[in-house]
Amino acid sequence: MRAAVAGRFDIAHAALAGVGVTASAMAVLRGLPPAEALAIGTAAGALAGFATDRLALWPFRLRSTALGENGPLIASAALLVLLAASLGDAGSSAQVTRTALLHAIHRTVPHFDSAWAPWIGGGVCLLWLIAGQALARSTRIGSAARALASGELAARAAGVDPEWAIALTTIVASLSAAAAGIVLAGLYAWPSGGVLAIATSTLAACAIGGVDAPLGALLAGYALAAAQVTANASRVPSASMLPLTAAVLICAVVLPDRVLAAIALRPAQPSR
Amino acid sequence: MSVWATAHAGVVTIACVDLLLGMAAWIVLACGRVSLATPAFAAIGLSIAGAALRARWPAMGAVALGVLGAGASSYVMGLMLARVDRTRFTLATVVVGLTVPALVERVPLPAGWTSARALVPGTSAWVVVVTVVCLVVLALILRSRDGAAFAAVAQDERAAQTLGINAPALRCLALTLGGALAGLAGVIALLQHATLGFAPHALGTGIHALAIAVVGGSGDMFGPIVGTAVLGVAEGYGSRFAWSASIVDATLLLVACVALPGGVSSLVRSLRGAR
Repeated sequence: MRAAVAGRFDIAHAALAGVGVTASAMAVLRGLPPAEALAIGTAAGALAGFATDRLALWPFRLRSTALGENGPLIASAALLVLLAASLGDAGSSAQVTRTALLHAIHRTVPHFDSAWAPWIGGGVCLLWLIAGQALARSTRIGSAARALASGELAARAAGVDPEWAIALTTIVASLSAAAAGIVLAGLYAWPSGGVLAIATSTLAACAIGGVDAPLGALLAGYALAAAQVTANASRVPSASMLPLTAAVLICAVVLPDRVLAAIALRPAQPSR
Repeated sequence: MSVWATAHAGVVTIACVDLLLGMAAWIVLACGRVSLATPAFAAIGLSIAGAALRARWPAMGAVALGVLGAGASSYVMGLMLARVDRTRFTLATVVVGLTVPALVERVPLPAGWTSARALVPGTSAWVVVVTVVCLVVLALILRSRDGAAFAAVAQDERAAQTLGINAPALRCLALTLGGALAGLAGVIALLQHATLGFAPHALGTGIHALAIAVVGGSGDMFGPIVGTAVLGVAEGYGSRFAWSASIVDATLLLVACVALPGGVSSLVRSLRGAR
């Protein structure tokens, strides 16, 4: 959604999941109640997302540079490395978040079984997706964002302020990324590779599904996750990496215009 | 002179490896695309050369096989990614750069094998000669029609295609050259350090290569040479404050992208022009 609206892809976006988890763990360790800690984590992710937009994408919207269209890609890749190096694998933060979240659920529902946690996580993700769809379809912000994705000049003529629409979309998308990180750490299992492992899967899903086609990226993400779970069952070291590489390269040949190109928010401009 | 060369052999070899990695990223950037798959090809070159050495191949044969293997795999990847758009190309190279080193670097070196320096006499001198030969070959390619076509595709792909330039084929050629250079860097790293692998810091290596190309300047092939020197000094200075090389590289890359997109060499050019 963010790439479709801004017209430029932020490679560092997946690292916001790590920011959310780390910030919520720090809040828990400072003695804040779990609900407040999770809210702080999500808000920190949104702030970090806004900051990455200002640092890595906004300068290239203002002026064209010698790096051309490659500028935002290079700058956001540098930010991904900076965030990954600063956060580490965030494994201990994920453990703190998980303990706090499960403790809070146990206090609310005394007979809660930890085996239900993934199902609750799935439910939260589904609700979040429905809310995102409603936001995009039924609100003025969503209409402005979709108008901007279709064409900037027409959107300006219709009274949409591009910078406001991009900023609001960035904040909503960053909130989603941070919340996804908290759900992953709290209710599933934080990956051993930390932020970079999340980034690899996310970028592979976007490369296959389309950087400006949210539904295509979502479907590709689910398909890749299923392939990774199957590959993990083989117990071969690094086997879960193979489906990502194979799928990205094969889909580049078989589907050069992305999955579900017809419903992408931004018109396709293949380079042939 | 020979005493100095012996004392600084490690630094010279690391500088050559960095320069080859930077050139690998730069040649793809010169064709208008961003590739972070450099560590993948370096890892492929390293793994193939390591396997050949284990099979008792002569050292030079192992080196050649490693470079050819990396070049061939980058050619296949170039064919697969030739027709996708800019963003998908970069995302695919990030995924390949992060996953392939972990997949190919699983075979351990033989027991008791601590360094291959003994296999190639005078390793540092050999490394310098090979690096200079690579630079000369690259300069000759860039002076040819294909070199001019690289710049045309990078500046305006649609106009270049109207003039009859085959942009996907050129991108494939750039990726193949870059892959072979990265493979050579991987082989040299193996011969120098014996157990060095790219998997634990794959994205850091990719950003390091890209930083060399961008900080030095993406406008001409002197950029990576300048970038190697700048990043070498900056990383050495950063290590005094316990900053990791990845943080120094990423910070310099970000600053260069935003404040000096033409790189240090463009600054030197503008200063010379002002005189």
